[in-house]
Amino acid sequence: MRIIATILLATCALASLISAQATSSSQNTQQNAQAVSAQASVTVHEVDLIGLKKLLSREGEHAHPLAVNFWGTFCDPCREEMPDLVRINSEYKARGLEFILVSVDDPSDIKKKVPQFLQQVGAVEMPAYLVNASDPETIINAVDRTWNGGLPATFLYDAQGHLVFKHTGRVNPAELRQAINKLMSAE
Amino acid sequence: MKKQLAFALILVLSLMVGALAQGAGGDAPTSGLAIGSSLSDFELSDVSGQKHTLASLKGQKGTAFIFISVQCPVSNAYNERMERLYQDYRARGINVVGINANATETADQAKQHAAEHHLTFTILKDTNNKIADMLGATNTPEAFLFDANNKLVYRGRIDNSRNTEAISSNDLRDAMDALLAGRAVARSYVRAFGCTIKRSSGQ
Repeated sequence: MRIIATILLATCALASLISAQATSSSQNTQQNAQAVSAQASVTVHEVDLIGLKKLLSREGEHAHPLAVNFWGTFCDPCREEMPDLVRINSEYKARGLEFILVSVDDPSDIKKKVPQFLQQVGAVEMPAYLVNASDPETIINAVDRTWNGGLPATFLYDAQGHLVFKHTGRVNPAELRQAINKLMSAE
Repeated sequence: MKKQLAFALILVLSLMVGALAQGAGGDAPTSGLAIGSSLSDFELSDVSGQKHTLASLKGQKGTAFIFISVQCPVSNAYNERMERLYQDYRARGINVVGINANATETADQAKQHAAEHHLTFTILKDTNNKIADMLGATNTPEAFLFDANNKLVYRGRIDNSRNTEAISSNDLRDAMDALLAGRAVARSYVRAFGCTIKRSSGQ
């Protein structure tokens, strides 16, 4: 009887460990789950122009504030500012801010170079995408007509999809926080 | 009744004109020199310390200024293409001139970089971003093409792909060909991803 109980207990423990890993990308805030998700590798999802437009749209279930950072592994200031963005994400995620990263790296880097850097810098809790479109002009236009395509670039949208903050070049974390605070107090 | 009709007609006409104007040259840059505006004369030293003016740099048929970088991998991906543009068009009357406006890169570094990558065109050092500010340049690489009268006819990217295998739109070359043929440039403002210019003002 004892042996069966021990086996059952062990199986339960194993099952909960596996399910904790599986749900690491969900809203689970248990310490255990967080520790496990930090070890899990980052997945970068490829999107085309239509996919990017969908991400930026604030309709329906996506009706909460959105911060988007465009970057590339080849861009020094992009890499340098990433820890700041990771910190800001951890501060505001629970308050309802969605902070996504969109790489403009070569699609061939989606399996190794891009996720490896994100893993390295601790950007494991931020949805990561790589936009693949033959014409950068179409991407730039879809994001902001006044954007010259310089990297890095950070954009902040309110829950209705209005652009409330934008910055090209390495972002000043205090300025971005201020913009997010302003947005959240207005919502 | 007549007033309402006239008003409606004016509204429709202005909308049509607006739509036509939009379609004409593509999107318009929102800062710096506008397409069709003239470039005023300037004096700038190259990376070897030699002084140049617009008058001394301009080609007979036109001038292409390209903002470049020592360390930006996007700019560097275009090194060969820029040198080829210079070689292809200098004899045909368009001079290609590089401009390094990065406060984080010295003239010596830019000079060494040019030697390493076999860039033989003139490279100006835009200390304090004077020319970059005047033109509204924000990235590297970024090209500004002027006609024989120093009027801006094209601004933006060299082509649509960092790697050479995926080029499907040779925007700067097309603009230079149009300039030489006396044709209007089809798309006068086309963008691409690049590294932001490191301005000395800290922008």
